[in-house]
Parts: sequence; structure tokens; C-alpha cells
Amino acid sequence: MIRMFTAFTEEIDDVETAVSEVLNQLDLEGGLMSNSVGILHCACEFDESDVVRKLCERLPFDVVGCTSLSIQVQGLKSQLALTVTVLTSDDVRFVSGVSSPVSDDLNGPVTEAYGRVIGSLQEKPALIMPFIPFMTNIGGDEFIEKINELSGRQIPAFGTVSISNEHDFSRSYTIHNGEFYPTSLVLLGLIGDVKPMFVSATVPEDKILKQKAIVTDVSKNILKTVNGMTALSYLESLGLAKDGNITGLESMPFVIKLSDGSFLTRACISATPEGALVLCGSLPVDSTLAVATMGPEDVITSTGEKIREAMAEIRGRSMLIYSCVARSWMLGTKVMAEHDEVDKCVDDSVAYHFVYSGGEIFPAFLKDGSISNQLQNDSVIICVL
Amino acid sequence: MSIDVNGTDAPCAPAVAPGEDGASENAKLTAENTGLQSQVKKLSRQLSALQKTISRAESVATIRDRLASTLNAERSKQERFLGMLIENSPNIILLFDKDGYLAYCTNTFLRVTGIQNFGLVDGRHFTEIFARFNNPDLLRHVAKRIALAIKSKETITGQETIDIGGGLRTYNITTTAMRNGEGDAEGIMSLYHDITETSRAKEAAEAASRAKSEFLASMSHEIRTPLNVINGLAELELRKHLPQDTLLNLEKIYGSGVTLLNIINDILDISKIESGRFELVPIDYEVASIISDTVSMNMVRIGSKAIEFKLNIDENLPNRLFGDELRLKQILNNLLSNAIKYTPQGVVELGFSCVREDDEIWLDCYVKDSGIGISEENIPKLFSDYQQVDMLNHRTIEGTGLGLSICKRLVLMMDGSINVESEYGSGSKFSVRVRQRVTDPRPLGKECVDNLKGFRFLEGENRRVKNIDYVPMPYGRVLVVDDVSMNLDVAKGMMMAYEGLTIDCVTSGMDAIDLIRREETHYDAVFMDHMMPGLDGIETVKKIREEIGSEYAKTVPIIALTANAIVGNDKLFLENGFQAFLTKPIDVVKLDAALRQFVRDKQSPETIRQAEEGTYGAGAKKDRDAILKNLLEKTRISGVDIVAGMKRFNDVASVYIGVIKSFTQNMPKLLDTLRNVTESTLPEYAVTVHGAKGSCYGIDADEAGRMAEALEISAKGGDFARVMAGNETFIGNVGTLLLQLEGLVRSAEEIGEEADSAKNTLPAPDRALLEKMLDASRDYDIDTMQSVMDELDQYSYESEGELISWIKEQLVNFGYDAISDRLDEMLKGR
Repeated sequence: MIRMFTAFTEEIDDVETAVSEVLNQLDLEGGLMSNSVGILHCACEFDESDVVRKLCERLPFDVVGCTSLSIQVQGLKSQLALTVTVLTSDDVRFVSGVSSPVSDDLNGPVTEAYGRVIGSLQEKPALIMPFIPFMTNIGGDEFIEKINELSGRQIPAFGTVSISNEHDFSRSYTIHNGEFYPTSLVLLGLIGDVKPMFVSATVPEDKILKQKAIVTDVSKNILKTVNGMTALSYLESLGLAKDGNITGLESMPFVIKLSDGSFLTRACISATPEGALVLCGSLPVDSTLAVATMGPEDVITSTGEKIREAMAEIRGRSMLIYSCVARSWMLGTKVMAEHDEVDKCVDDSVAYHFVYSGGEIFPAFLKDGSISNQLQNDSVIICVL
Repeated sequence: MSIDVNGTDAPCAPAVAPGEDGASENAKLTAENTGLQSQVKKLSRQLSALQKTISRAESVATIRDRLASTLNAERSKQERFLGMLIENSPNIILLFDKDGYLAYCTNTFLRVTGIQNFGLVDGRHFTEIFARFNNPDLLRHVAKRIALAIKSKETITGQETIDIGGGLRTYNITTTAMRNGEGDAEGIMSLYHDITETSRAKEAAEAASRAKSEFLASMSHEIRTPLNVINGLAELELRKHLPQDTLLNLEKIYGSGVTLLNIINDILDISKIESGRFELVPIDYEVASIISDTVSMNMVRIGSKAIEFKLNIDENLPNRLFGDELRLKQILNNLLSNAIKYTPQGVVELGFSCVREDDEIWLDCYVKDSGIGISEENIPKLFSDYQQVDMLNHRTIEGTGLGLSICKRLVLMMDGSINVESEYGSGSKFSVRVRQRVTDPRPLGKECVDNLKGFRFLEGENRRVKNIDYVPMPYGRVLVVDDVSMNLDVAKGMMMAYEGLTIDCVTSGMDAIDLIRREETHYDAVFMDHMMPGLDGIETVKKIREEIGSEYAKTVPIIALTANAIVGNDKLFLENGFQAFLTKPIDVVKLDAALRQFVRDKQSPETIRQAEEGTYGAGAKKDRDAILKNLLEKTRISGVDIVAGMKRFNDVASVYIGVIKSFTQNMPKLLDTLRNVTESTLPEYAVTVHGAKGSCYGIDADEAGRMAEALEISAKGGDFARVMAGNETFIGNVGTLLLQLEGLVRSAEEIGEEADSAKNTLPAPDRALLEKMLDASRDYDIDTMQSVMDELDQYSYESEGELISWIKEQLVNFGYDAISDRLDEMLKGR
């Protein structure tokens, strides 16, 4: 079994204060079991100070994580916070590592990191938690597909993509043992008696607009043309863009129907001068594209439902909750509404963290026994440990 | 957002305090300043975060507003066009809610039904709406469709011819439930599509198609029937021993008859192909035969043209193939005839080769000519129906223009190809490639090819006919039913080759039914014409099978004779009580097969052996002639010296009575001619009365003979008055004489029948005796002929009894040549 406890601080500038706050909340003396690891999430503003590095120096275990927007643990929530979620266990080991920086080709760095952290293990991990860097030239799904390949599609993965509150999503970092990495993959492996349970919710079908189009040209995560016209032109025909401006579009999920009938959801990050759209993940040509529109009620309702679903199975365990940053934008001015819903649904006795994500990674268990880990956007995912 | 504001004032610059406490004050102020700066920094970050949040929220709101606006505009446009679609739809569309209450309808419904305003039916139940049409069936159907549409997930379709205000119209009705996302029916849509005009057009088209089919069937029968006679009789003649050139001519007549049939068939074929009712009929055929037939059929076309004909044949062509020989011949005939037609002079070449593929070959044929050629722009038109290219310049060239079109279609049906290369003014080459199965892979060989090239294969058909083994069938008895006498002659003529076979003929279905019902004779097979006036073949067979009731009627084999070459014949006849069918013109090979199957093969091996050895049957002998002689000796007829007459015929009473019978049959016609004499017809009268004179003397009616002689002299002398004076008396005397002689003949025939029934019966006249009769007739050996006649007359016969009576009559009338011809024909086939 894994025990989880959390710490929270909003102190960015006063390093000592911040570190003390966190350490005081963690029962490091009596609370730790044989094996431990820390999952750290913080606002990108923490890159302005040494809090993360100093804190990690003081923690007696590896620390993995990434930047995020607003974060919540045990009822404490803030857009400018840092949280540490400690996992500790006697019968579960934790291994972690970070890849070398990824530029255009992730194969070498990811393969090396995986081999070093996971591949060298005698016992296969029961769970991998990847923390993927937010990159515009490589979609998060490419990292996941590589992990799928390296794991032989036999190990479930649950994780997140780094994100920030910057308008261009710069200052998004993965974190490993106190260092911020803009383009490196951080891996955490859980080995031992772990039986994680996964719950997820994505875009409801009734929120998908009936206007459908065919993806006619795409290059990985760059959507070039739709219905034979530039992606931007297509959006303009729907009224979702104007004069090349797609501001606000990141709140509207792109739902892609594949030839086998399954769905992908992708968030749109930016537009290129050529009228193409940069998405958070790849999509295949000839797939059917539609745009969805969700409002605050849709977000709140789906999160609440899934948390209650998880809570029904909690049985003294803990939760890690990641929700897509796009969902926070769907809330409009009610930026903390989803947090409030979490508060309402999670019992005080349950340890959890709720973190906004730049991409949600969770497993799909296939009929042939293999595991297809996938990256979705606009989703809320829960792992019960 | 969490904003930590503790109500702190804005930071200010530290003040410098005077004296010893100044440093600590400064430190304190510095600390405060630092704290404040830190606060400011925090606030600044929080403000920044807040600004970002607000900015995002604004942009999200903007994009949603824009989207909403776009969607509203689109929805409005869609709704507007949907509204226009429904308003302008030519169809009746009714939308009901799930309980059957009308929610919407098109203007067409209102217009057709005469309902002035939608409000009059809005919200009304469909039962109420449809009740106004006073059609309970329609209402029932509508209710059923609506219920089914709601219950099932399918669209319910139907067709109704109804009057809902626009007169009687036919509608295709489609009823479907309108379901929400959960699959629950929220309403029903009923669409009425008026197909009245389409229905009428369809009925008209079907009627036209039926008329066309009936015309085809009728034409096929009407045209083929006389052609059956032409080809059938030609085929019969081919069996005779005739001079070679006569045979060659007959071959050409026969071939041309077939060609004519094929030309007529062109027109019928194209109709069948276009109607999709055409099928290939593959058979096993000789390659040499098809080449020979094609050449021989077309050589006559060369006529006086200076055309050199070349024949190129691959010696390795297989001997026999399996395919539609008739259609292949049709194709070759068409191409070769065209080549000759369009070549005023020069060379026409016909070539055959093949490429082997396992048990099949690609048969490659070409026809090449140095004729007028075809211009490039006309080549695409070549294979079109009824097109003769360059018609202005070649009006004199005959043809329907269908040939190449049919050729192409036939070739394609044979999984083949047809191509043309041509140069206007220089000539053309048509190449055909078709797939055929090999049944005898032995190559034709050089000798056969040389024979073909020398046109020495013309006996093909004749030999084919001659190669049939006409086995005697004295045990057999068949009935032929055909309303056309000539067809009966043809059929009977063909069957007479089977020595001893009894062939009875009737000219109507009713007669056939009567014969079978009476069961006086059990036929081994009945050959029944299909198309007859009154009761046709099928109806006749139906009555035979179903109404007579006897086991014999139910099981007697009946073979259809049909001139209708319509696809589906086999199924038609087999389903209507026939066992087989033969198409007209009757093919001798197929007739032979039918006779063997239904007559010969039913006999025991011993019977067949006896028949083929000529020892079938046996009988006793009775002296019929003695009885007749006794009758004559007792008869007294004024004006006839019966004793002298009998002496004339060697006291053979039956012969004398036969002559008397012939007198009674022929004399009335002569008297009719004599009765109508005028002065201008005296020369003809003289001839006729001369004939009458001879007949009277022939039976020893001397008195009448003398009267005729006197009238002859008067007529020859032009003495009309004398003729008129004696003519009536002569006619009256001979009339009286005829009455008495007819009575004598009747008595003699009665005696003859009794004697015949008492006679021993043979299946058929002895062959050796008939051959002896034939030889004697050729040599005009009357004594031998009479002696043979006596022998033959000792028996009655199950078949060919008529032959004996006929020979007897011919003997009386000195018809020795007729006897020779008939016996020669009859005995020749063996």
C-alpha cells in the first residue's frame, strides 16, 4: 500500500519561509516508510526563485513534477502555489529520472531515459508516471507512443504535460530533483504491490458541434488543411477565428473521430502564418474533425461525477487528479469553480492533489490484454493509488 | 484566485532617523521596506495572474459569442431553406408527433386535398385527417404503417393508388419514425411521392415489351415454319443418290436456306439480345465443318467478281471444340460476306489459328480483304445497330446493318474480342478471338487443311446426315401432330428412313387427344407441334395428361416440335408435360436421337436384334383374292364385262377391283369437265373425253367406251351440236355405271377387311420382296412385279400397309416409275 500526504505554499520569494512551510507540513520524521518519492507541482513563477531547488535539497527522496496553473491539495488552492505530494510505502519502490533535452527527435533521449530508469529494472513497474515537457514542435502523444513502444504496451502510464499561465505557454517546465527542464521528459516508476484504478472523463458527445470536416493535410501535430482549405480558413468559416486571430480557441476542444470509431481530443495552441494550427497532439489525415463547446456547468458536472466515481472505490487510498488547463478556461471568470467542486466531492480524510495539466495521460486496457496509453486534452483524469 | 492582502499600505522610502537609534531604525525600516516590496511583488504577481485570467475569460467569451452568432446565422439559414424545402416540395409530407397528431404538412398536401388552410388540420389526429377521404382501407394502411414505423427501426414503404382529392393517383408512401439521440420516436414522417406518370410509363413499357415478345414469338414461328419446309425438304433430298453436281447444288440450296434463316435471325437476335433474353448454346462441333460451311456458304457471293479467295488454316487447330457453333458460324459468315460484299475485286482472305490454354483455346479468326476499306471516322460506328457506313456511296450493297453489332455482342458473350484495322480505299481486316473448350485435341492435320483449301469438305453436311445409322424400327409406332400438312410430310419423310416404323399423322390437337383416348394404338412417342390453331401443343398435352386419365395418357412420351427459337423453351416444355423438344427445321441427328431414346431403347435387346436382322414378326396366310374373285363372278353390272376385265388382269380379282376403284375415284372429275363444254372448249373436251374413253375400256365398260369414242370424234371434228346431243347421255350412263361400281368396290373392301383381319400380320412388308419389287419396276418387269405383289398381299401389316395398297394401285395404273421412285427413296437410307 502507498501512503500519501501533501504540503502547500504560496511563498515564492522567501526561500527559507517557503521551504520551512512545506517541511512543517510533511511528517518526514515519523511519516515516511521505507520508500518515498515526492511529486512537486508549482506555478511557473517559482522559476524566479530558488524555492524548488532548496526544497528538493532538503527532501530525503527524489522529487519529480512539473509546472502548472492553479493547484489544490486538501482544500488549499491557489494559482500561485507550490505543492508537494509525498508517496511513501514499504512494499512499493519508486524510481525516477530525467531525459536529456529533446529538440526535434525524441527517440534518443526518451529511449535512453526509459532504459536507464525503467528498462534496467528486474521487475516491471506496475505504473509509470511520465511528466512530459510542453513543446510546440512535438506533441505529447509522441512521447507517450514512444513509452508504449518501449514498455511493450504492458505498463499503464498516468501523468501530465507541463503547462504555464503564460499566454504563449512559455515557462512550462518539467521538474526533477529541484531543476527546471523546459524540454526533458521526467519519469517516475512505481514497482511493487500497486493496483492503481483509473477514472477519466473527456468531452461529452452532445457538446460536439454537428459541423464535421475532413482532415485533409496534417504533419504530426500541425493541422494544415481541413476540407481542402487552410485550417484557419475553416475555423473562420465557423466563426472561431477572425482575421487570423484564434484567441480563446484553446477553450474549444477539437474532437477527432478515427477510422475505427474511437475519439481523440486535442487542444489548439496557436496558428502559424500559413494558416495551420498547432495542436497539443497529432491526428491522422482523413479523420473527421469537429469542434466542441463546453461551459462551466459541463466542466463542473463531469469533474464531480468522476470524483464521486473514484470516491466510491477509494477504500482508504489516495487520489491524484489532473484536469486539462483548457477546462479552466471553459470556466470563464469562475476560475476556481472546478476546485470548489473537488472540495465538495472529496472527503477530508482522503489525501489528493488536483493539478491543471497541459495534457492528460492515462491508460486504455484493450481486449487483447495490451495497454494503450494515450494522451488526451480537455479531460479530467484520476488515479487512485 | 487567492489574493493575500493584509491591508498593508503602499510601500514608502525608508526615513533616516538622527542619532544612535538611527541605525536600528534604519534596519527596521529596511526590513519593513523589504517586506513591503515582497508584498508588492506578490501583489504584482497576483495582479498579473488575475489579468491573464481576465484576458483569457474575455477571449473565451468573445469566441463563444462569435460561434453563437455563426451558429445562429447558420441555423437561421438552414431553417429558412428547410422551410422553403418543405413549402416547395412537390411531394406530400406529413409530420406527426408520436401520438399521431399532425405537426406539419407541406403545401402540396393542402393543395391536393383541397384543404384551405393548415390551421384546419393542425394538431388533428391522422385518423381524423384521413377519414375525410372516405377510404377505410387507406386509413387502415396508414395506421398500420405508423404503428410499424414507431415500433421498428425501419422505414416502412408501400404503394397506394388512391384519390385524396387530386383524382386517382399512385403514390409511393414512405413512413419513418423521427427519433431523438436516445433512439426514442418523437414523431412520424410520412412522404407521399406521386408516381402516377411513372407507373403509367412503366405499364406502357411493360405492355410494349410484352407485345414485342409476342411479336417475336409469332414472327419466329411464322418465318421459321416455311423455312423449316425449305431446309427440311432439301435435307431429305440430300439423302438420295444423286449426281454429284446436283448434290453440290442441293448443299448450296440447303446452306443458303440456313443462311436465309440466319439473316432473319439477325433481326430476331438483336431484339433478344437487347431484351436480355439471349443465351449461347454450346455444343460439340467439328472445326473443319465450321470452316467448310463458312466458305461454301459464301463462295456463291463472289459470283462474277474478280476476287481471289485465300484460306489460311493452322494445321494444329484441334479437331473438335465445344462452343456455340451456330453463333460462331454466324460471326464468320457475317465477316466473310461483308468482305466479299465490299470488295469489287482483289483478294479476300479467311484465316484460322489458335493459342492453347490447358483444355481451352483462344480461337483466332480473321477476315482480310483488299476492298473499299473504312475511313477512320467511320470505324467507331461499325459495331452500332442498323448502321451501314458510307451509305451514300454504297446504296446498292444489301444488308440490315445489324451484322457487326450482333457479331460484337456475340463475341463478347463468348468472352472474346473483335477488332478492325482498315484503310479507306485499301481494305480491311477483322480479327475475332473467342475462347472455346477443346473436346478432341487431335490436330486437323495437313490433309484435312489441304482438303478444306480445295473446298473438298462440302459433303460435310451430307456425310453428317449419311453417317446416321437408320436402324429399322418395325416395332415402333409414332404419332406426328402438326396443322401444316407440309410439315407432316417433312417429318414423315424423315422418319421413313427407319424401316418399318409406323408413322401416323393428324393435323390437330383434338385429333391427337382422340387417338390417345381411344387407345386403339399405343404410340411409343408423339411428336407434337407447339403452335397450332385452336388447341395448341401445350394445351393439347395438358388435356392428354390431365383429362384422359389413363396411365398411357399420363406417360406416353411427347416431344415438342417448335419453330420458336425462344430462350427458355426447355423449361417451358418440360414444365408442361413434354419429355423433350426439337426445333424446326428438324435436325436429323436430333430426330435420330429422339427416336432412339423413346422408341428403340424401350425395346428388349432381342426385339432390337430381330428388327435389325429383319426377322421381326411372323404370320399365317389366307386367300383373300379367292373371295374377291367369287364376289366378282357373282356380280352383274350392265355395261361392264366383268369376266373380260378379270381376264385382262390375269384373274387377279384384287387387282381388277383396284382398277375399278381407281375408275370410280377419277371418272367423276372427268365427267365434271365434260359437263361444262362450250364450243370454244371443244379441243379440250376432245382430250378429256379421250381420257374417259380409255378409262371405260380399261374396265371393260365397252358400251360407255364407244360412246366416249364417238364424242371424241365429233369434238375433234368441231361438231359442237353433235357433241351436245350425245354428251348428256354419255354423262348419265357413266354416272349410273359409277353407282354400281362403287357398290361393288364397297363390298370388295368389306371382304378385304375381313380377310385382312384373318390374315397373318407382319410388322412391315418384307424388305427383300420390296427390293425385288424395286428392281422389277426399274426394268419394267410386270410379271415379276405382279408376282411380288401377290406375295406381299398375303399378309396384313402393322406398318406400311398403305404402301402395299398403293403399289397395287400403281400397278393397275402403270405407275411403274412412281413405284421405283418411292421404293428407291424408302430403301436407300439403309
